[in-house]
Amino acid sequence: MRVVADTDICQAHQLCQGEAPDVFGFDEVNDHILLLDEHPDESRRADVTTAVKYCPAFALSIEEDADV
Amino acid sequence: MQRIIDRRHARGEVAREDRDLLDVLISLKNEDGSHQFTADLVTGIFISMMFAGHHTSSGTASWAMIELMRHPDVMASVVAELDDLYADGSEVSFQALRSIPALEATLKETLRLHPPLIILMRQVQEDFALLGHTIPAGTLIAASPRVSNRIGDDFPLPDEFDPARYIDPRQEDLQNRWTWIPFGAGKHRCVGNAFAMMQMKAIFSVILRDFEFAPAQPLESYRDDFTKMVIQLEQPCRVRYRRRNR
Repeated sequence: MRVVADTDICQAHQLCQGEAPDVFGFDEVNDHILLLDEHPDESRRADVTTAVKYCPAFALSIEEDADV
Repeated sequence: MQRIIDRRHARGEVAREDRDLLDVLISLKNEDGSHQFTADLVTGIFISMMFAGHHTSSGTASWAMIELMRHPDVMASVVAELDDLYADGSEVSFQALRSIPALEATLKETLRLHPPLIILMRQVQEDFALLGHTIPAGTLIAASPRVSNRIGDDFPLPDEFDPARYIDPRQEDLQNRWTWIPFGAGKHRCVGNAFAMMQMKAIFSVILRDFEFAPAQPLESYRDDFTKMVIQLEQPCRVRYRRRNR
């Protein structure tokens, strides 16, 4: 999976960091989320999915990798 | 307010972790170096911040209760979910309110059908084409959550109350993040969304634990009153409640 963050609409609630701190970081200077791991391991899916679901700004999404 | 702002300016910049909303608002500058917000505007922003979350949440909570009474099967699943969650005697806390899927889906579906705000205005920043018209920059336009939330292509059987829309893998809110817009969308999306959901989850956690509710008037007689800026239930709007036997 690929995690996509729209930093233009991120409101800096930082809830995603609570769910998956290894995937989502924070850009203190620009006040928005910073993706630490764009392609998290499949084992992280549950937490990443929760982060996407509860993002108050709807700024996150998961795109499935195309089969190669 | 001007006196408070003057004192803040005299104090100078504060550490990031001590900064509050007022510090942020008065720190913003225009390109020519002048302050972006006057004391008047800052006061307005604070008043909006304080009152934006009152009638919106109370109206939504009321509608959620009406929809739960209209759909006893949904009510039963929400009550069972809450009973299970608090069975160990745990307090209604942030942790308890983290994930309550059936209740959350009920609240989302209530917000889709009964968004408390039905007109969201935006000022057009650049000319753009829409349905053969050119909308010039500067135009004030509006999107309506009430209309958008019922677009049939995105929300099958749009007038039906169906909390199952939000359960994986349908997730009709996330799948349609530009048309499921009870909180608006984009840069100016409601900043109180997470707070409102938490607040309503707390409300229902407490009242459904201790009380059961029944309509006090025909279920189809509950309707919206569109005469105010924030839509509320038309009066009279009464329900009966009694302490649960358990």
